[in-house]
Amino acid sequence: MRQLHLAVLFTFMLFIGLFSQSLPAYGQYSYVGVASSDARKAIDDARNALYIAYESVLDAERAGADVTKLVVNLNTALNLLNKAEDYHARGDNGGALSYATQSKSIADQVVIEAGQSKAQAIEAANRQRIIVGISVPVIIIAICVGLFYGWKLYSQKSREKILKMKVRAAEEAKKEETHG
Amino acid sequence: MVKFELTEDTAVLIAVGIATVLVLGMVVTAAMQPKPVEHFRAIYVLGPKHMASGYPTKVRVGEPIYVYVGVYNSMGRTELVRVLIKVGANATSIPSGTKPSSAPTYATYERFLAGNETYEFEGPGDPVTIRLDKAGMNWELIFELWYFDEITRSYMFTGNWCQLWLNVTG
Repeated sequence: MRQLHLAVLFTFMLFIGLFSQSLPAYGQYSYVGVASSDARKAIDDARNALYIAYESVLDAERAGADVTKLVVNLNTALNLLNKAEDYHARGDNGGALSYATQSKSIADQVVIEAGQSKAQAIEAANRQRIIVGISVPVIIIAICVGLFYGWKLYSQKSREKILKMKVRAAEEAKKEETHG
Repeated sequence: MVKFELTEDTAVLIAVGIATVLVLGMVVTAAMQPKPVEHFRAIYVLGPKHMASGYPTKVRVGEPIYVYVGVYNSMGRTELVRVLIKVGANATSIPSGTKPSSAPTYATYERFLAGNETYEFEGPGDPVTIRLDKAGMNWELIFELWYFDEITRSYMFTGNWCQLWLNVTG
């Protein structure tokens, strides 16, 4: 009887030991007894999510956003998805489901971040358009005003020069008259 | 009130003003235009020493073949690319510019590439490692570059490919 108790206790401890060792293999997720069809569906869902994430990144990029970080995240999701495919091919449906779920989670996050980046890029582009729209006419007006007054000043100076020349000519003529 | 008089001076002033506005407009427009980019994707294969030489030509069955497979994206946007490594024999399945090889796929590699990014795929031993399990003469290792078309949601062959010829001895 005592031996039986010990055997049960040993089996129980062995089971606990094995189960606790299998936990870190899948990171924070653990899936036991997953059907192949469930794993396949999770992989397909993750792939679909990845394509949606890619489209949202392209949208953000077209709007002028910097998508460097998003591309890194897309590659992380893609690597996890490929791992899920590998695990599924090896018959480890729990592992496949775990990696597919992680991949989908990252892809969904990319969609959110791409939306935010796109909005920020559109806002920045609008701001730039307003700045250019205001500064170009201001610069043009400043140049025109500068040219106008510059030309006016130049004309005035040259007129004064001519007048001085005339006065000097008259004075020289007067001088010649008195000396003569 | 200032009376406007169209003299020779004011005409010159107006002409200079208009020319300035036009030049400034052209400069601003040119500065705001995106730079023209030549759009293409590329694939390359390097030998085990990471150079375009020393490619394996004769291997034994099961012996690892090390190559570096690189891809380059000059499409001016992020691309999802896929490299298919196919194993064919005796030039029976060489791809064309539009049609991929009909040879069976040995391995697949995928990667999101940012615009103007080059990436080299890694295998288990850093370079891509291939092992052929059948002996034969004139085996071809075909490396095809595919891209993901987001409209049709499928991978399309780019028409870019590389190949290595091998004799596999028993």
